[in-house]
Order: sequence, then structure tokens, then C-alpha cells
Amino acid sequence: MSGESTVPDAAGPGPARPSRDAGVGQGAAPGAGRGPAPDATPGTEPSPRRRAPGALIAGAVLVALVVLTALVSLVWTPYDPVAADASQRLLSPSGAHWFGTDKFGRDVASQLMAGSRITLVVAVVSVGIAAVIGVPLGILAGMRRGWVEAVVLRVTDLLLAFPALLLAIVFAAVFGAGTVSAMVAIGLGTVPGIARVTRAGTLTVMQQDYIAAARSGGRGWAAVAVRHVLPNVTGVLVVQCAVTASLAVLAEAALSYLGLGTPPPDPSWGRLVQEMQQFLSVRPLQVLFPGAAIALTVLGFNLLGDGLRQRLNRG
Amino acid sequence: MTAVRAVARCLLTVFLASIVIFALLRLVPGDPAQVALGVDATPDLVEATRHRFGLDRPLVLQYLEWIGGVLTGHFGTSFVTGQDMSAILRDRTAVTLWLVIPAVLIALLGATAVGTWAAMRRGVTGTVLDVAAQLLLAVPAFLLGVVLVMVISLALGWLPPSGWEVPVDSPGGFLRHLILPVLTLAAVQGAILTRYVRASLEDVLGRDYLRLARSKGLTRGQAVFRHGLRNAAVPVLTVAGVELASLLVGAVVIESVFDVPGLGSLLVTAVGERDMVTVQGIVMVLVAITVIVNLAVELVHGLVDPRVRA
Repeated sequence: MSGESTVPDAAGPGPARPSRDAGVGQGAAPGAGRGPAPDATPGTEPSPRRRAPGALIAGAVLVALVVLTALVSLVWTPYDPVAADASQRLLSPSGAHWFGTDKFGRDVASQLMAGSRITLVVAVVSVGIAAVIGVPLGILAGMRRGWVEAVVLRVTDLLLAFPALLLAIVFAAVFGAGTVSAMVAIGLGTVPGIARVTRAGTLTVMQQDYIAAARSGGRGWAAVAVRHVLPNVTGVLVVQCAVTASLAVLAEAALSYLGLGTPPPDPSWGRLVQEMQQFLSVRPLQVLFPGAAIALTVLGFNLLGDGLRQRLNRG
Repeated sequence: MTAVRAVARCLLTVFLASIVIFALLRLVPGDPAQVALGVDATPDLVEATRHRFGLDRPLVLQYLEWIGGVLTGHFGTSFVTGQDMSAILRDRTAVTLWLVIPAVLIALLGATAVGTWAAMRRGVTGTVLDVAAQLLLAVPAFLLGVVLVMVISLALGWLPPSGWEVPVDSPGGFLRHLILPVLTLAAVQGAILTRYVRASLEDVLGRDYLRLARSKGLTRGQAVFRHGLRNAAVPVLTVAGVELASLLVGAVVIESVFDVPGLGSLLVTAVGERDMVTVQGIVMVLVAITVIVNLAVELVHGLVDPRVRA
């Protein structure tokens, strides 16, 4: 090996991969966009750098807080989140209204609490849709090479051309703006990330001796998929699901901000930012509070994903 | 050979995407003419409109006519406004590219600089940057835009909070309106890319060939510059391509924050008015740019990394 010229032996993390996969086949799934830690893909040599060990705990605490808020909001909020009161418009934060009131005189704190429900439902359902479609596709592509794999890869190529938010805008045009069409669109838009991570994991599992043993024992490929492949790709999948959840939260927030997401009067964080933006110079806090709620939730899912990935790579 | 296959795959994706876009937007419940004219239009008027826009012809013909038009830069006449959308779409695309291209360049340059710097110095600096990147990643782009307006436009009064000026009319005003949206877009994408640059470079820094470069007398900076960055660039480029897709969609949102008359704000209006011809045209342009950029990245990948050329 020569030190004179550029020595091309460090292509990037992961096992040698065909160029057409160009990095999208490995665990970090850049298709997933924001958030994934790039250095810790399965099969990567351990990174010399250690990430803060608290990531998992911090992420779990943040996500748990959002879940708790959503649960509490089912039985109690300080005020009725949708009750408008013209005499209480645009109040500053105070003892009576912790986060102030909006342009209709609704209590912002109550709306934030109730808004966490939409955020969580969209995150969970979108990830569910992406997993239900993406995991079988990924396992199929990883186990049955040849034309099955080629078709799956073309389908994910096609879906990759439609980022989740763009697909959600198209769905809003076709089916009307609403939480359901948003969840379906975001779910479909995040299928490629899940499918590619699953496929990469499956390819690794398929090289193991126990697969050959199971196959020679006469098990059909479907049985092998359920018994041996699925349990062994669960780890990378959980990480990808956390990343996908943070993408879904961001996409829903942006969609609601554009007025194409959850329709009024259901409180939604993104729409609250949009509604209060015109009062930015007088009531900046009422814009920042819902914004912070979105950011903390996304941060929670991102940290959770990073922390889980860390544990996965160590164990 | 690889390049030819990459181009073919890219064309296939654009073709399939065009079918999906056309089919999806024809799935609209109800007749497109009826939707555009409203519920109280007389059946005669609806029929006349259907005929005028060719909606009474077979779908395959309609598709071929549409895609043929798109390929030659003709996006058709809006059922809602009755205007030919071609010129409008071209103008709007130009405005969006004014935001996206500088944002990509700033994000790439900034990420390379900060990521390299962070990779070469561990410890407290690294931790601070980690936390900063993690926080920036969690902030939705539209919120960052709103915060920038709050600080730079409202509190400091340095730049206009929203709006747009045409470059030929007023170059100064154009630049002043450009800065905040471009910075917003660049910051979010830059944070993601910085993490990749840093991780990729840290991986490279531990390799034998870098140690060899040091042992033959290069300083650490020279070794990183000559041998490290090129090897670290490969995974970063791939991510940058994928990120550009989200930057385009990010521009859709950012244009609404800053009231910029680009493709995004037109798309949001068109969706609200259920102006399907316009939505189709915009989505097709966005998807085509996304796929073409990813193709370009793949081809550049081959230039940087000789092994994938084969």
C-alpha cells in the first residue's frame, strides 16, 4: 500500500457494497434523512469516539414525557383546549394561563397538551404503516435475490423520489387535508428507509451458518424468515423506527404549519405556530412554546434512536 | 457501463413517478372539471369544460399529451384559473432554485469545514458540537425561520422579514430578501451533513494509510487534506444527494415562512384550490430534480471513488 497517492481502501462503512446501493443499503439509511448517526451502522468497525452515554436515558425521558402529557390530556387540561373566548385574546403567560392565550382566546398550555396526542398518533401510525410494508419487502429482497430483489429495489427507488412531506401534500390535494391522509402518506414515504435497513440486515443474517442449517433441515424460506431472520433484524429495525418516528413528527408539524395537516379545531403544534406567527412581534412566546414542543419530541426520538444504536453495536 | 445503467434506472424512476403523479391526481373524488367549476355548475358547462380540456378522451391519451407537454416545458392550462401554467411554473422554479442552490453550497462548505475541525479535535469541543448538532437537527426548519425573523428582522431590523424582489429590478433588495431563507435552509441541512463529515473523517483518521502519510513527514493537516478528505467524501456525497431531496421539500415550507413566490408557495395555494394541473406540474418538477440530482451524485461518486466505476 502506498502513501503517495490516494489509497482507496476506505470506501465507507460497512461491507463492500455494489455501487447502486451507494450507501442506502446500510443501517444508517440516509433515505431516512435527519437524525441517524452516520458512524454506527451494523458491520462498521467500532468508532473510536464514544457518544454521550446518557443519550438513551435522555431520549427515553423526553418521549415518556410526551406520552405522559398525552395521557393526562385525555382526562385533564387546565382549560378546554378548543374553547374560544374573545375577551381573553393574546394574553401574556400568567398564573391563570401558563403559556398565554392565542388569537381566539384559547389557552395555549391546554392546546399544547392536547396537541401531543395528534403528534404521537401520527408518529405511531406512520411508523406502523412503514414497518408493515417495509419489513416484509426488505426481508423478501434480502432472502430472494434476483428479480424479486430487483423489483423491490425499483419500488423503493420510486418511493424515494417522493419525500414523505411531498407525498403528504399530494395526498392532501387528492383526498383532502386530514390526519388520516397525512399518516398514510408519511407512512408510505418512510417505507424505503425501513425496507433498505431490513434488507441490509437480512443479507447479513443470510450468511450465517444457522440459516444454512435451517435450510438443509428442510424448512421453507417463509419459515426461515419468521423464525430466524425477523428476530435477528429486530435490533436495527427498532433503531430505524425511532428515526422514522422523529421524521414523522417533523413532517406532520410542517404539514400542519402549511395548513394541510390536522384540520381545526383539533389542536396541532404545527398549526399553532402558523396561527401565532402573525403576532410574532407582540407575543413571541406563543410561537416558541409549540415550536419547542415539536423540537423536544423530535430530539427525544432522535436520542432514543442514537442510544439504542449504541447499545446494539456494543452488545 | 455502470453509468449507462444508472441513467437508465433514473429514467425508469422518473417515468414510473410520472405515471403515479398523473394517476394519483386523477383519483380525485369527482370529475376534475366539476371540482374546478364548483358544485353549482350546470351539466352543460361541465361537459363543455371536459371537452375543452380533453378530459373526455381516453386516460392513456391524456397521459401521453401531459407528459409530452412536460418534456417540452408545457405544463398545460389550469382548470381553475384558465391560465397557461407553463410560464408561471418556469418563473417559480427559478425562484426556488435561487434558494436551494446557494443553500446546498453553503451547507456543504460549512459542513466540511466544521466537520473536519470537529473530527481533528476531540474532547470538549467535540461534545459541544455534538449537542449543538443534535439540537439543530430537532428544530423544524420553519421554526428556525420564524426565530431568525424574530431576532434578525424584528429585534435587530437588519433584514426584511418576508417578501421577494426580482434580481433585475433591484439586486440589493433581492439579496436582502434571499439571505434569511437561504440561511434557514442551509443551517438545517448543514447540521445533518456536519455529522456525516465528522463521522466519516474520524473513521478515515484511524486508517493505516493516514498513519503512513504522517510517518513520511506530512503534518496532520496535510495528511487529512490530501488523503483524508477524499476518502471521507464518498459517504458524505451520497448523503448530500439524498439531503437535497429533503432540501427541495424544505424549500416548499420555507417559502411559506418568508412569503417567497417559488414553487412551494404556489403548490400550497394550488392544493388549497384543488388546482390539479398546477399540482401535477409542480410535483413532477420537484420529483424530476430529486431523481436527477441523485443520479448526478452517483456519477460523481464514480469519479471520486475509482472502484465503483468498473
